Amino acid sequence: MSEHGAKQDAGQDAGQEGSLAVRLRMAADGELDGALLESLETHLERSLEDRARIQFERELREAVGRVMVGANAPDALRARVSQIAEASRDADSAPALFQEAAPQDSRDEAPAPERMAPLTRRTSFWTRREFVGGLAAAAVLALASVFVVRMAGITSVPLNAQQEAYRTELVQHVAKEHQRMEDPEAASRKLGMHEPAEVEAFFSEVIEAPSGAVKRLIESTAECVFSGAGNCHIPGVDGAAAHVMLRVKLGERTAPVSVFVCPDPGQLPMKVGETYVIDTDACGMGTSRVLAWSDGKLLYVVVSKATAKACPSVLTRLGRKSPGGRL
Amino acid sequence: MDRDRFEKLALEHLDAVYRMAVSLTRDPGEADDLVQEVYARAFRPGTIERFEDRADGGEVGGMRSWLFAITHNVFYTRIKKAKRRPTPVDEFFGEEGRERAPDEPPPVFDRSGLDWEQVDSRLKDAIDDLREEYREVLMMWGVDGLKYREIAAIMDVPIGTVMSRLHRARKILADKLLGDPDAAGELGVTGITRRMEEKERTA
Repeated sequence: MSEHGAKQDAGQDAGQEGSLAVRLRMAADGELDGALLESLETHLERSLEDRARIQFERELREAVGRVMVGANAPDALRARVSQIAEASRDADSAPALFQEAAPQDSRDEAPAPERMAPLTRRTSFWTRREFVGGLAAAAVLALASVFVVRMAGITSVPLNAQQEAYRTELVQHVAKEHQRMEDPEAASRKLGMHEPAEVEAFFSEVIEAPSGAVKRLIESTAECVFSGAGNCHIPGVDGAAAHVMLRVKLGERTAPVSVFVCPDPGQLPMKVGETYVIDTDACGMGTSRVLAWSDGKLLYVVVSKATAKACPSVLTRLGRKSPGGRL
Repeated sequence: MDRDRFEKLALEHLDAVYRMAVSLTRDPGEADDLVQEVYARAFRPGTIERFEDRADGGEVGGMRSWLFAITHNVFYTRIKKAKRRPTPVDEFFGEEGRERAPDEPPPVFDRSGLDWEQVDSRLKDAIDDLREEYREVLMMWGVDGLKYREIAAIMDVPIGTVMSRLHRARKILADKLLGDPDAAGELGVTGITRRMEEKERTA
């Protein structure tokens, strides 16, 4: 750091640029130069103890580095991050009109329309080739959406590239979280709420979910037992989210079913009142079964193992009808 | 920058981002989850241009700093959203508000008997006991070798706050390593010396 910078930043913020202690630490960290460093060096020629202090700080830093360096990212994580890159690449190649404007930086939490506003106010935006392409693509998608394919009574809903990318991200996240809860230690850490009153309060205050639905969700019966709830994160959701774990009786055994509830980010084209089967094969999570619906305000996602066939009983419990759409 | 190069560059820092995430969450599963969200955000459409604009705008740090900033923000946004974190005692009593680099000098002692090999295991325990804001700053300072200015930009705090947190974290570690006379003897540290420091001050 330059003398000026050191004074301006460290000095003004800390209010003590003249402090020897501060300069000793800055010197140990290689943050001093110029006249401040020269004056300190002059002092150090006379002070064996302060030289020892600096040396200690340097060795402590090296030791902290050694101790904290830890393990590299596991291969499985590396593979998943590569999948995220691939999914995003597809979305990135979609016409710009459909893309959510990326944040200015990660601190920019403004909703997409607000972030887009400065861009869309420019005349050049509306004359961009991508916009014209986007308009054409929109027309094609609108036409395509008219010709929905009905298979076995379930309507497949066409998704654009951005919606597909979001669906993949959502499914991978919830399926992975569901699987992670198989580890009792992870489950006890995350799903720490067991008292119905506590869960109801959490849903009411944090998620703002209707109390009737929450009661039905966590009520333990002979067929379905509530085993815990906790807060969690759902991709693309700004507000808090909840993860509820149930155990559904299937013959002689029980199967875990996760229910995620969060404010609906509106990223998937879901009709209020309709329940959707999510195409987990397309998301690379074919071993999971995922159902989702929106009540217009909250998004509900139900996850179980594909072989467990436990989701329908959760739908019944929540008064939902059978899936009518496929995303 | 084209998409391939951007992704390659971002993936080169995956280990560093993962280590940061582990340091913040102290749970490999949660770290895994955090890292995925960081990269999902980093790879969102349009971010290459934003990343380049940021660099052109003279912001400190490259890809690694940018990814660290996302990690920091995603992690603390989650904590904020969870609204379940109890207020730490010293924060409650206003200790955290004192974000000034304290005037207390680093410890001084006879280093000739210090065995850093033995120090490491004690240091690890001491670091594990630190709060996440201290671990985070130590990680960037000790492992990634970032400058105060870079750390401040990543955490979006004044540089004085970084210096203060670093000082406090180091002090806690030094106290734990050296403050206990038995432990100090076991570590081979002699002549530690709050008493010496006090003498110095009074002199």
